[in-house]
Amino acid sequence: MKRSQLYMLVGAILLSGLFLWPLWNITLEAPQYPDAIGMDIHINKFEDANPNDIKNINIMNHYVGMKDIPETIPEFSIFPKVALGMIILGVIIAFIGKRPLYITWFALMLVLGTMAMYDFYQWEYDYGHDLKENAAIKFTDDKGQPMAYQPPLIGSKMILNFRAISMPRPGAYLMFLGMALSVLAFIKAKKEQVSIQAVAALLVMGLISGCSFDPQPIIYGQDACVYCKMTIVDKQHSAQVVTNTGKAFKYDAIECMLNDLKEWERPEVKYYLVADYTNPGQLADAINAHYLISESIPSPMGEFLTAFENANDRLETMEDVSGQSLSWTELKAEFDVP
Amino acid sequence: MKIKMHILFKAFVITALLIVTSCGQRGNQSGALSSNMAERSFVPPGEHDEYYAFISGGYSGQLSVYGLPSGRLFRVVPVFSVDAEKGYGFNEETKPMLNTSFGPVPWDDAHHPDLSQTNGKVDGRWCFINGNNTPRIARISLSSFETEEIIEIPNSAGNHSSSFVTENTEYVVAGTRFSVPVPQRDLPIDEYKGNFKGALTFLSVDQESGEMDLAFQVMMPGFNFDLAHPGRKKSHGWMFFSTYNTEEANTLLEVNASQNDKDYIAAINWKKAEELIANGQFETMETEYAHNIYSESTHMATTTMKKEVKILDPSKYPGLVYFLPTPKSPHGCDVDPSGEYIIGSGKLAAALTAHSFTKMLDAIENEKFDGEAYGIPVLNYDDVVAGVVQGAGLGPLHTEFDAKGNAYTTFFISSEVVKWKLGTWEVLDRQPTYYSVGHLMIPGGNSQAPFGKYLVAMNKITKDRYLPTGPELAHSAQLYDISGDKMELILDFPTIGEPHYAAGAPADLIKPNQTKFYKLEENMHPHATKSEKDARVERNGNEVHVYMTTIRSHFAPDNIEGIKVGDKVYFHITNLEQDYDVPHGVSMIGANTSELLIMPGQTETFIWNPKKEGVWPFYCTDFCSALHQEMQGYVRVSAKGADVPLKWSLDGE
Repeated sequence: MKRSQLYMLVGAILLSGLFLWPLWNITLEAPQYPDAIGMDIHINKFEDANPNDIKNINIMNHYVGMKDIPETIPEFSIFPKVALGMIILGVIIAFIGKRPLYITWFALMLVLGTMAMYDFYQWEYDYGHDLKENAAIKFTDDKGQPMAYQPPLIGSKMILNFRAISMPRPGAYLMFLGMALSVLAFIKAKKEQVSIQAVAALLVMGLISGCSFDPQPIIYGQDACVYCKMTIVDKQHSAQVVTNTGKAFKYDAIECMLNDLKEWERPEVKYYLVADYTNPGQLADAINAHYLISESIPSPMGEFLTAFENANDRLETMEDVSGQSLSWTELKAEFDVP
Repeated sequence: MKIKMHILFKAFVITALLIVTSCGQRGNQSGALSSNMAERSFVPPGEHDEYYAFISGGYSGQLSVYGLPSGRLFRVVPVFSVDAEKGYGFNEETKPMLNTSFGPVPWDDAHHPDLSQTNGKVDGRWCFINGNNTPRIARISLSSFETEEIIEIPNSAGNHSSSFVTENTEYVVAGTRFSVPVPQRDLPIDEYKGNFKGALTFLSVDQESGEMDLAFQVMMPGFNFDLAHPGRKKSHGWMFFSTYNTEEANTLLEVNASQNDKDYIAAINWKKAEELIANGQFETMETEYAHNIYSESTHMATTTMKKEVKILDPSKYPGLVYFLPTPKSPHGCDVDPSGEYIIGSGKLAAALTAHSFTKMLDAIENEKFDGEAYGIPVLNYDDVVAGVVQGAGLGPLHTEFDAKGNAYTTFFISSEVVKWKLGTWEVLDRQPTYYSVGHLMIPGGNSQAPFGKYLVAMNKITKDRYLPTGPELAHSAQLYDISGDKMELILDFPTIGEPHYAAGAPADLIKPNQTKFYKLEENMHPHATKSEKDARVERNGNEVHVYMTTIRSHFAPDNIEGIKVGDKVYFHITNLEQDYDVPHGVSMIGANTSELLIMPGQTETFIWNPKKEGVWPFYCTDFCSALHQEMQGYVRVSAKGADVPLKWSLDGE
């Protein structure tokens, strides 16, 4: 199983937290309630934050004509099914391992989540606005309109002398994490494709050159140059050194490798590799490569230095741009590499 | 100019000196008055006190709960007296609590609270207190702050040397102050000698439920048994009682009981008594006493009349009791935290006598007896005494201890508290009390580990200390800071009834175990109504049962019709609230009883005998909510024999 698939799988499974922990919580704080009273919203039920809290919220709210918090709502039978569906779908997608499916699942979650939040908002609106006609106490707001008692969707808000706080709970946090993992899977899958190409190329090259070495694939956009610390992005100018101990050092430019070799205190080098200008992303044996310094082809660190695996490719390029051609030995002399 | 400056400078120096000396004088003269006294007893609004103080209400029969160091009163727990405010003794549920073998007794004289202990340390489970007049011992839960149990003590009268608790709450003791004929019978009073007996009762305590059981009585000679304290650590297993009237006078005791140079402290080996009981070496005596238990699950009290008591006659069982001669009618009988010293306060003397437990054991082992009294060995005074505190004051009564080897004794006649050193018997400090101090209390004082920060002195007389309130004046408690070398009076507060004695414990020991309300689903009251839909009215002949509920802010039902003159109407009211601090009260016009004050989840009952036709209101008496004033209802009462059907409703439903 690839890393991206694993992300997707874990992401989908994290949704099951919705069945274990509450999704949301509304807490009411007021001086006469030194232990705040509150309600946890689970995927399938409302629950007292502390014993009897819902009962006490209802007792308090009935004076202003608010309805009781219902024992159950239709959503409680729908939400668990939807969540279970998304978990199963996520697991299937993880096993299929197709990149576009990851982002599709995420998009679906986003749509469903937004719908759920909208639904929640609707319920809160209704709960806070639909007051009984015969309410004992009728407050009005600053504008003389009937007071509304709608709790905030997220965050806190003063309602009369109560501070109403509405915040996600672990169920929701795990769901967010699951969704984030699906996006991560989507990103990771792209890189895996790139990495696979690089490895394949190296293997082919290894077979061609008849020697077996173990360079590491350069992950462009992520790996940093050992010498100048800059991220390696140019697939036509990168370089790599593999030591006898099998450790690989990656460079964003051939000149960086040469500069690094000037004072080489690391284990003895087994292979020198440079990017073949003609085949971006493909590394060639540096000792047998053919070099060109041409002001028409900038290289990452400003030395205008380019390598070709094949002498003919250099010749063809030199027909378009003028420049100085060098061998490995000459290049080393140019850069004072011992 | 130069001279002028000089004079000015001199004047300045003199003024400065005057200020300095006057400051010093003020400090010396008024002691704590000039220091941060107010600060030390001040607990800011919203903050909690460090200690609970359970102060007996004396002749109020109740137990009051104060905070220390603020002296704020939090609650009066009804124990031996009816309390209309709380419906205690008035509602049907608590009436049985006051049953005795003499029938219901609505009052008593509550004297000595003591706290349950585990391993010699106060544990915050229960508070015990004695009723003096009709001998009883009560147990109060420190979770609910309600009286859960009252047991009557047979063969006893003036239950004064009570209710002291042993190191692991194995026993609560109850000693008689007045000796009486045992068994009670018609007898000329002057045949006192030999016929009158003094019963010392040991109540065992169930460690789970706290329920007491009369384990046995040690039937002593006809002395007066004044006070008691348990041994601890090395002396655990012994109980010490002070005695007076060893003269066995039966009239003009103030003279006739003050003739002997020495009375006794009786040392009772209760471990030995346990063995005797286990071996069946006791007599069973027929008697009658009430045992009343309040159940938190049914919210009801029940009375069981018990018929037998196990008696141990100390003259028959050597090793059970010894007498330690102690000068001049010892009152207080206090044991220090180490269990070595038993302090007898000869209330007619100026000296305090400290007996040594080690020396006592040695004297017993070597049979150094100085005769016997009614077959009980009397030890030789010189063989048991460890030391005498000389010239401490006049009329020593009671001694408590801190954890640093100091003792504090109250002196009634000279109105003062005196601090002295155990072992060296030297007086270290003395402070006046205002006035006529009786007991004193240091939280955890009757244990191995006292909390020697505060001392509460309880005064019998206040005279001019407070704003006058006619002929009857409040008694008082005075708080001393004893954390330093010298005691400092930092607060003075009036109390309920007579603050006879008190017990104290750190708040942290009790606060976490509080019952906030009773769970409705656990309410096992036979007449509970657990939801509004079950509210109803039932008729059975002329007996009508109203099953009513309360919740903010209405009764269900609140309209009842079909009640007739001459009916006996039971209102069984359940408070459906399940929140902290939301009791509802109920009262009915013309009901010949008190209100009900019903805690959340609780059911209580009152009886109403409607005597007049009409429509009669009832209402909620405890300000419960913004619409408390709307919390009311009506009962329609029709003529006897009228055919108005029984019906009930809330909002027409």
